[in-house]
Amino acid sequence: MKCSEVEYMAPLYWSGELDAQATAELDRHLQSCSACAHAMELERHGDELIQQAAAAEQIDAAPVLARVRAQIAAESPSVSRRWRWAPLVAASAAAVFLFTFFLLPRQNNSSIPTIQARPATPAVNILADAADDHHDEVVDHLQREWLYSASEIRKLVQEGTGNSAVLTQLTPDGYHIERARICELGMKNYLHLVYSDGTHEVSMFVRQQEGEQLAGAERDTVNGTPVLGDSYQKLQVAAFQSPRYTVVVVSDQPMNATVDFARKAAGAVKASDKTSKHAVPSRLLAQAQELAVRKTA
Amino acid sequence: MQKQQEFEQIALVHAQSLLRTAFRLTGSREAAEDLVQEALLRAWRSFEQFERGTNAKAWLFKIMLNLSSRQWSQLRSLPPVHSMEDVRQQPATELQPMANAHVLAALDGLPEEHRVVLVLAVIEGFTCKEIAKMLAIPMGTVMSRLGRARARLREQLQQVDKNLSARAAIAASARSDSPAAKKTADWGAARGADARRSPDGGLIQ
Repeated sequence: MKCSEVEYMAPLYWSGELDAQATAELDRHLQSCSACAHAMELERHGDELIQQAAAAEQIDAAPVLARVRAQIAAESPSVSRRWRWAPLVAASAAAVFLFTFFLLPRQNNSSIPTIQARPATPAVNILADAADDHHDEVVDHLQREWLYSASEIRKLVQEGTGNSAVLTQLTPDGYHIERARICELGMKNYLHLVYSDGTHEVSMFVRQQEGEQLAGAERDTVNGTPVLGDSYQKLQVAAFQSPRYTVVVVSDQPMNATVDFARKAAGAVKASDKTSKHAVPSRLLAQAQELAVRKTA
Repeated sequence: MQKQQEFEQIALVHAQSLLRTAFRLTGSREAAEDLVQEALLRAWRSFEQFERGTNAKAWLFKIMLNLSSRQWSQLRSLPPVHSMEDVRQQPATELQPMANAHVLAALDGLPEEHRVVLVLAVIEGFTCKEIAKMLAIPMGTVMSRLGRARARLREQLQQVDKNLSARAAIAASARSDSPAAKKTADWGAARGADARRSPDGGLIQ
């Protein structure tokens, strides 16, 4: 593990989000790199000071609670006011079916004591992440940084995948691209494309594949490429990998329809894939991300 | 009534945490209370959509942060709850190591985008993934902001430490220059000289 990787992953280390393997890698690096060990110790100490100071601060929530309770009582029993729902069929089906491994270089170091022992953490739960994301869209109406302009979407796809034709290749029959944004799932950037036929919305998540492991039941095969599928919280998810891309399809339609979307996309994408990998510089994805973020400024 | 009791147990238990973060966001106790009150009432009105068993605290913080982002521009000009200026005004005799007030002043002095992620991560214990969802920003952005926030806070605290040390040195020097201090020092020196003489009055080498 490099010093730059330690610096990057330090926040995950402190929050306990690193899996056991990554945590062990980081701990081994700290044992052999005094500079990083010192930097991490400074961070740990700083966090400790903040926590102590916050714990000592006098916070009296009683007045606020009293007002809230009074208002709740005043509104009861007429508490039938509901948060407006976007209809499920028109809502963006933002679930992901992907299981990624956090790829790190392996080092041939022996096991050594850690400076600050961290409990082993499970890998990021993409499925729960995706379900929460959908919940946010419907329940909390969080503002999202969507692009709606066709030219901007095409540019985003070009910058994110290196090939604007992906936009068309992923389009289900009878659908058109409605909006797009960058999202982050499993600590990796994905292009989130939403297609609509006027009634249903289908999400396609795409990124340049880096050997991610997809897990799920095999539903179909397209020219030797397996199409996997599974259900999660009333949403159907299908996924495949071409030589260049990892693609995940999400919809609220039946599984066979969702798998069909993925199958046709796999056929179109694979047909245009080059045999040699084109490395999409990470800076392009970062630029795409910035582009999406600036839209909300 | 049952719904109210459930809301009490699931949501209102987090009022203090919400208020603590709201202080750091708004810099005003009145504004913080208003923000938390509105956030809790919004949560109450959408409580039926809240999925039991999921992270209620994260849900509440999302609502509050969403509200605060709209009110932020109005509150940004308000002074922080603790300011570094207040800390510098403290008398030089307060020489205790890194007081809580110093730390909070350093925290409140950070740019808001750094302050928010640091508060959510370090004080409230949210993961980077949870913070990313609350703020609707990529997780990588959360991670980089946390790294910078910790570095900037460290710089601020190191500066405070230098200031404290300098004031301590000045205070110590001022005490040693006083007439009473000189008398004490002379007496100490004399006692030392006596101790170095042998019983017959000669110097002990």
